[in-house]
Amino acid sequence: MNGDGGDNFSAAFIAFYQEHYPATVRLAVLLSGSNEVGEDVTQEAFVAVAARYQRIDTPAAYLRRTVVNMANNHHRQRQRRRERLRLLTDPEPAAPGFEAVELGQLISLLPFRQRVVVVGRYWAGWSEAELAELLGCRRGTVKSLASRALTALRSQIGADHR
Amino acid sequence: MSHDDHDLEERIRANLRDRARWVPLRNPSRPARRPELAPSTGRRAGRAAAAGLLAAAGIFAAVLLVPHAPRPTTVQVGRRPSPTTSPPPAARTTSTSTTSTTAPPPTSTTTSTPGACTSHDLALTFTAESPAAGSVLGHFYLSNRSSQPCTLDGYATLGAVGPNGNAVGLTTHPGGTSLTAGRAARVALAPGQSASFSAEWNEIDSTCPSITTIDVIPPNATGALSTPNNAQPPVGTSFDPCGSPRPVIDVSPLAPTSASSTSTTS
Repeated sequence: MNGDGGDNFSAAFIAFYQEHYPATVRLAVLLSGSNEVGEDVTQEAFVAVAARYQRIDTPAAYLRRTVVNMANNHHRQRQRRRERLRLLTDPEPAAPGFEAVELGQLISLLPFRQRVVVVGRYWAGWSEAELAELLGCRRGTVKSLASRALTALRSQIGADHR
Repeated sequence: MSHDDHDLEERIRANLRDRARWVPLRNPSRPARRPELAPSTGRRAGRAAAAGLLAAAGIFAAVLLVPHAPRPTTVQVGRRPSPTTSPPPAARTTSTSTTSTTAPPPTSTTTSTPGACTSHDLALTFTAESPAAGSVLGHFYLSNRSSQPCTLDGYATLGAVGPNGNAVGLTTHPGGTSLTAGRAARVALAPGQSASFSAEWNEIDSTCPSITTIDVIPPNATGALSTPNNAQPPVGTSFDPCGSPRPVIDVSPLAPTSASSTSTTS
């Protein structure tokens, strides 16, 4: 591990990386439901941004979109099936002494687009318009995705708790 | 029913916030970790570039870490104070410093505003009282001991360690009781200023393992501030229930602490 690759990255990009890494990896983990996948997605997304960093106007928006798309690719791959199995059988402890709450697992098991809407709306604070653009759909679709997600979560929680 | 919807939405928010808080941010501080993984999940060029990226980030992380000496945690662990010396009420503070949306967009603009306080930036002070038999109300004060302003936004997460060093499972629940209610808002801390939150839990079941240390993870931070291991149990007791389900610790959002740290309202 020498500075080989590092020399290719401008100070501006490193600053960008530093600023956005924490939120990005959190987003990727929330979307993928897995720390490992989230970290992979984050690294790949930053690599993708780095390649175009000088040429894109809004790297933050580009990064966000890249993370969502990449998380979706992972989702399409069989990764998700494995993750689903793992979540059901061996929940990853968030940290010693802290509970990986069931609700979080339920969110992780939502269909991907619903999950993007849930994470975007309730964690990232994205607007419906932003979500529609990210997902390439109309705002009405975002609404219905959100409503389906809530319905699903409510029924599954209800089965457990209420 | 709309009330249920609202409740569910709040739970989702809280859950995502808690989970996000626990995402290990290991790359910036431990650049050596990932590249070795390449063979199993490899993506050729991307991986190589990622390694370079990590190397670059590692250099930066090293620079960042230098100013922070080993975690000092000027922690004062108070036994439960006598009734006459109850700490300033922390939970009910209604003043909010800045107007901000509840969840800052993760990947957009932050530039000029101060960043989130890391655990390195903060010092923890802790006191506790007993508002009712079997109930403990802990007050946690986080002061900015760095030379830069930073912000605290939302809820801290708590952890607990038992006498044998094992983590004691618990769930941090934002809001919850009247003693821990409040509206989350971003709190800007100039150097020397502090913010506080309160947490309430039960300690009725004496068969539960005792707690020797409480860890506090500031909002959007990964590191924890701990009450000292060798201190007396900060609240002398345990969290109940200790089996299944896990104890739920209700916490209030971080709110500014008045400069004089004397009581303002009651």
